Amino acid sequence: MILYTLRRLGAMALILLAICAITFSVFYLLPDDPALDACGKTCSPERLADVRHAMGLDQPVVAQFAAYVTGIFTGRTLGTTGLECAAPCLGYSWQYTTPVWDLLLDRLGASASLAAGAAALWLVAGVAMGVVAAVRKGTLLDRGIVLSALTMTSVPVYLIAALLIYFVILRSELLPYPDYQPLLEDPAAWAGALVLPWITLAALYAAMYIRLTRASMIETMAEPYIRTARAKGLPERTVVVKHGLRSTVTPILTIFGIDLGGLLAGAMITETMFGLPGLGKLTFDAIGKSDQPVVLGVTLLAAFFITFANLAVDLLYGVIDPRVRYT
Amino acid sequence: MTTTPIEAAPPRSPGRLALARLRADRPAMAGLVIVAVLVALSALAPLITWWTGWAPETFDKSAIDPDLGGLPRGAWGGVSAEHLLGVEPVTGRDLLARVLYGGQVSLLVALAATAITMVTGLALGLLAGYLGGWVDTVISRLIDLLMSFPSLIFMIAVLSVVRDVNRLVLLVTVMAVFGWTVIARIARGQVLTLKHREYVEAARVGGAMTGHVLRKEVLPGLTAPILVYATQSIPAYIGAEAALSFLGVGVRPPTPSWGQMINNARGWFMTDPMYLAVPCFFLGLTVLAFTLLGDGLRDAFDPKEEAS
Amino acid sequence: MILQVSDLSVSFGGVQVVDGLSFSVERGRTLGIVGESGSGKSVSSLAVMGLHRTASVSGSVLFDGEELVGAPAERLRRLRGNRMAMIFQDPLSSLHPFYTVGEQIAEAYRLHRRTSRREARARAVEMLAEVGIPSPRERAGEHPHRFSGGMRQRVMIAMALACEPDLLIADEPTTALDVTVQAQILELIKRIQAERGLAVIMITHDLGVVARVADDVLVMYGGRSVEESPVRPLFKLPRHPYTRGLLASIPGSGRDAEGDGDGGRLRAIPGQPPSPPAFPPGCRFHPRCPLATDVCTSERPLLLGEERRVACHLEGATR
Repeated sequence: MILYTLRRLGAMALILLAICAITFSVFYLLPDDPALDACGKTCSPERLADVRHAMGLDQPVVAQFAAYVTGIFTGRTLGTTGLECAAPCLGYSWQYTTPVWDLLLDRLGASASLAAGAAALWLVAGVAMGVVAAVRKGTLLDRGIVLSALTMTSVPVYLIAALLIYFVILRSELLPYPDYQPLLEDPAAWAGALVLPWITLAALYAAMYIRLTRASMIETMAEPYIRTARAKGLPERTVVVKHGLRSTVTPILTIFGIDLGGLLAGAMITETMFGLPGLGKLTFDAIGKSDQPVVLGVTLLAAFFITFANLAVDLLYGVIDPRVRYT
Repeated sequence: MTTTPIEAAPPRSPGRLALARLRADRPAMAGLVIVAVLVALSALAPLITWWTGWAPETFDKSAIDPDLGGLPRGAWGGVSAEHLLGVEPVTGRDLLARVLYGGQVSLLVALAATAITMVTGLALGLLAGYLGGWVDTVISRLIDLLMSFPSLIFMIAVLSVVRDVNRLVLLVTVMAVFGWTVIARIARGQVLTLKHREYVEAARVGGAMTGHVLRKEVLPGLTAPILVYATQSIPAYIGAEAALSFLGVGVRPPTPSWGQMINNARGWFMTDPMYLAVPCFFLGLTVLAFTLLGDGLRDAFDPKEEAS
Repeated sequence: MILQVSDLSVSFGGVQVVDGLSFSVERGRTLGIVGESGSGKSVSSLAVMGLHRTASVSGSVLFDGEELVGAPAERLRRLRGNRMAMIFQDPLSSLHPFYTVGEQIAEAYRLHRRTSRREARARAVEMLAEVGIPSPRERAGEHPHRFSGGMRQRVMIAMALACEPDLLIADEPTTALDVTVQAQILELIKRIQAERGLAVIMITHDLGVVARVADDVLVMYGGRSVEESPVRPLFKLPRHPYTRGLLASIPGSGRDAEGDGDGGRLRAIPGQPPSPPAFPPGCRFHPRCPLATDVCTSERPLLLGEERRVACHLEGATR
């Protein structure tokens, strides 16, 4: 188990390094010159060369990459600008004139709040409704749940967001226009700004989880061990919750972990629609400004979340399912 | 009542059986009909716009009200006999024409990406499964790597820095790069399973060529998962194209696409909700239709016995 | 008489699967119900336990004098696992993969006897010891996948018997096991039955199992009883053509249906058993019966006799 974890951590580091290298070279090979953007509209060739030198862009790509990777662990001084960038250094955003790491930390709060709240909402609602539909399979209730889940998977997220903003904020003024504040500073503003994004994101995923849970639960309830549980004289509630749900949630938790990992930096559309200052919005803005160190940093951070979620889920699986052996 | 079910009818081929089941599946058939209608409408877009008289790029200043900041004249976003689905604010371009031409782009991108991912995934998966050894290792690691990639962010990054390239080709390529992994895993798994089965061994000992084994044993087993996965990928790619265009890195104007129309409509949804609703409706309907069809295909190939 | 079933019929969505079945079991006795798949033997036993959720069940099931058909679900639930218990064909899929065997045995005991967790746990260990699982205390904390097939079926038996039921229904308990293990499990069931005076219904397609454990036999075909008899006379002189066919198909049984001289050879009954929606009219066995006459195709034979009962139009005509 420990050996397995260590080996997986090693593989994770390799994958992250590979992703870093690929993303780095894509930016290097592409004809978009960040020095040109930094230099401004009226840029003489001499000035451009100075800027390139200052940003360290005149170095060979391998040297730049090596500097970048070592910077993550030891911190570094950026080019000849004299700017100190402490470890973990993911480069420097020329747009915000801030180290990328500080930007990421600053924006992570909103993204994590969004992901965590929405995830809790969709997991509870999705699994509960999926179980109810499976247990009442074929009834009107089941049909209703299946139909609404199908509709929800099809409604574009843009429309959900727009409708929520229109009806809840503008029309009925149930909520103020979102003004995100960190949870610890202003809990009311935090929650107020997040309620609608939570609902938007949760609606999308809940529909998926209802379908998943229902299918998985129907399969489980046809298992012979469910018949055994009934033959033991257990109340139907115990049969469904203790015996049925236990097997059903195991595969769902796997998907949940991976979805959550992907969502931390992936809720770009929701964040953009609601103007939430999260990692998705940061990326969106950075792309518009060709702020490549930021894009690279977000890509790496997101890859970290994804690989970490994968590992966590695999390890968790061993706790939930006693049949799993790590080799 | 205990083990083997009793064959009532003479055995039919699994493909025919699945087709028969699919025919009886009403939601799936509804999905198929909607898909067919949407594809026909998009394909016939030039004909339809010729008939309505409004091309997607034709401005119609008479349909908008400059005094109201360019809002369409009339209720429901300017729906009239002239403009069946209303017009775009400010420009007065015909929404029907734009949404149909946008559908062409969305469907084309999704179909192309699906086709490429299926072929690539199948080829690489079969290769990994058959050759094994270092080829398998390389392909499997590549799959692991791509699956850990934050693909949306990376796609946006690449799409935003690449210039002077055909946007549609680029879009399809970028989506296909991340899309082939699932089908490759399925194909590889299928080959590995069959590899260990006796009759494949027997066929090989009997001098049958690898190509023969591939055609006779492996590909038939892969038809069902590929067909089902392809049907499920199409709405995913349509959604991805919309997302990328919405974020401003997909299809560039003046080519219309659903995601781009939604992005443009974002600022107007309070004053002209029809502008947002029309592309959203088409996007949602397409996703719904493909989902219904995909569910039906899955059930048709893998019928879960509806036990009493 | 702990269990008396009369005129039991079960149908699913209008398709009758079991048709007018009657039998009874006493404490300390074993009834073997034999038939091919689709004969309705499992369906009948599940109906006795009240485990059908969508079937319509008619007739009468008297358990210790209490009518179970039409009884409230809650009443049946209190009897299940408590006074009547059941074990199944595949012990691996019949045990929950995520709970230890100790937990699974203790669960029913705790529920029906309202004991503490500790007591139930001790009972589980005791039961594991009783069914012959070595070092039961340690093994109670293990999950089913760590047990061999035979050991799993022992666990199932321990689970079924934890509350000391009066009736045990065993649905093909040895079918999924190795031959040597089969014998051990049957011996275990016999031993426990003798010790406790348990009534057992042994459902099987295997006449060898019946010969080993049953006192009485009921042969089912197409959802109906075709022959009922004490075990010895049945093996000595099977009367229904189907029973004869079954006996003839046992390898090395030295019998065959017509006695035409090639005894000892395995003879399968030609054709397939019918499935419920396609039960033939008249005697349901007639399409496969070598002796069928016109009357067999149209009229249902009645189950006639005293100690031995046979449902065959040819009864009396052939001998």
